[in-house]
Amino acid sequence: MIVLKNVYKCYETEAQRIDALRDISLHVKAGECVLLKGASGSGKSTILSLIAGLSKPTTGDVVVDGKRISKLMEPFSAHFRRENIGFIFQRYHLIPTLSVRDNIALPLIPENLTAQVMEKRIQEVMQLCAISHKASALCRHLSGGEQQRVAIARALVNEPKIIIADEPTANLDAVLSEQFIETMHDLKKRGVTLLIATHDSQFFNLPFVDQQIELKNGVMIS
Amino acid sequence: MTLTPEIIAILMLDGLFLFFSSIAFVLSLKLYWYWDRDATSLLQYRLEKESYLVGLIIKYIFMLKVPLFLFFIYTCDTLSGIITGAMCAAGVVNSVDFGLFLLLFKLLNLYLFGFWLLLHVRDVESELQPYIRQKSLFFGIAFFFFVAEIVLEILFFTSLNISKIVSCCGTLFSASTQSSLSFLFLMENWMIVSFFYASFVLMLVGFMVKNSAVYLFSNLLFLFFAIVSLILFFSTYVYELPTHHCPFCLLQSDYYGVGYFLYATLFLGTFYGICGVVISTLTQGFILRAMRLSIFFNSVYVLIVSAYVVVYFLKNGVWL
Repeated sequence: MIVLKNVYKCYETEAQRIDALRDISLHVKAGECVLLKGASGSGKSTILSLIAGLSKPTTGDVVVDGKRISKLMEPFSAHFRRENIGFIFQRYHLIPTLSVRDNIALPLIPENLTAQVMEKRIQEVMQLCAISHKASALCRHLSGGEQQRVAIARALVNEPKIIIADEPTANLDAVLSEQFIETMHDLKKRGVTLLIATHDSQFFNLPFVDQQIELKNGVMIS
Repeated sequence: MTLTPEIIAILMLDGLFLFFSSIAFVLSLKLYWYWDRDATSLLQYRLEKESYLVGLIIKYIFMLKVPLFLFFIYTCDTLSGIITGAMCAAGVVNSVDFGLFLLLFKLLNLYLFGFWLLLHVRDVESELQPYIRQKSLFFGIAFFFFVAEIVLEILFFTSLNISKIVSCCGTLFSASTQSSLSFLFLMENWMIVSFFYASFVLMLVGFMVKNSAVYLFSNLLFLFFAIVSLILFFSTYVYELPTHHCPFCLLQSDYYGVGYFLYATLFLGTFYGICGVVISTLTQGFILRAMRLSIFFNSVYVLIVSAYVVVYFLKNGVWL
């Protein structure tokens, strides 16, 4: 499902060169839940952005669902991402001036679906994420937990095969984090591949996690 | 050297074009030599990024070149007011020995850049970018024509001499003088017009039987005979004067700038007919679309020039 082969990623400026990832190779099977652990700056988010095709490696190959996403030009990787990957960001990245419903609808707009199909999908994910009662509320008026649920609903609305979550519980309290973990468990049962980058210890001993990968200074240490 | 705001603008743009196209040229050569789609090396990822840059530079140059071509004609037209003897852009272009070559280079480069752009469109339609080496090589060659045009243009503007008396278009496009274009007038009008319509009919036949070789050949013929017949025959009906043959005066407001429309349809039609068909044959793609666009623009051109003749005859009851 997801294969990284000898991936290096360097960020270069005139003043310095930062090796964000060094010789990373990993293999994730379809339907697995993989945890990426490590301190801030260890390279977790970089791996996720490479898998999502948001950035390209300096060297090495990234293959997702049989597609060499690292070799795709931006319009093709955007299309691939839209069809196959749902991304949950640490800071949610919702549009504060749009309603919950409209934020969730955004990824569907380029799909040219009929209004009925679109509405059906939006209602389904809003129910799944228990946010239906706030459908017409503006996102800037929501609590952190509610915003997180909207972000999850938006990631799910395109029915992706892969969900990528980058520090999803960093801004949530313990109770809301538990709820998030439950949602992830439900998705795993549905066969969705999960990649979660976190340093939240609540995730570390979960029974549904298949692989835990620890990173330190851009190197896999376990 | 004559400097007007228009000339300064053109020369400054030439400088910018030269700078950016040189970058695109160097990167194109790199892409041609080192491109390896399957490689996951540092160099290949750099080349992939640089290919975006090359595409962006050439697209922008082309986007500016099209209006700049019209601006060049407009500039020559405005210069005719200060160059003694020149009545329109024709006199200014011919006031320098290589003026006509400059114009031909400009046209050729529009076709070359357009060709590159069509190839680029076909290339980025596929996620494998199958034509990147071909388009890089093509630009590597086209670059020299582009540089030649820029050098000629700079020399052209620096060679303009406002104290020198030049010939007007009436003299240049006339059978009675020994200008560089007077050889055209050795041909019979009926013959040229017959070839013009025959090449159009051949094009229609090529379109109907979907034969790209016939279609390409007929477009080349059509382009040549369209220009010659416009100078020798159709222009006289636009001016309603049997002795005036200038292809530049058509651009003036006295004739409602019909020349801009005529040249746009002719060049677009033949561009799709020549470059579009060549690209389609090489890349096994949109041949029908290119042919349809070509036939549409060329038909519009034929209809308009023919309409001038018919309307004149209906109004006056005689041919010129």
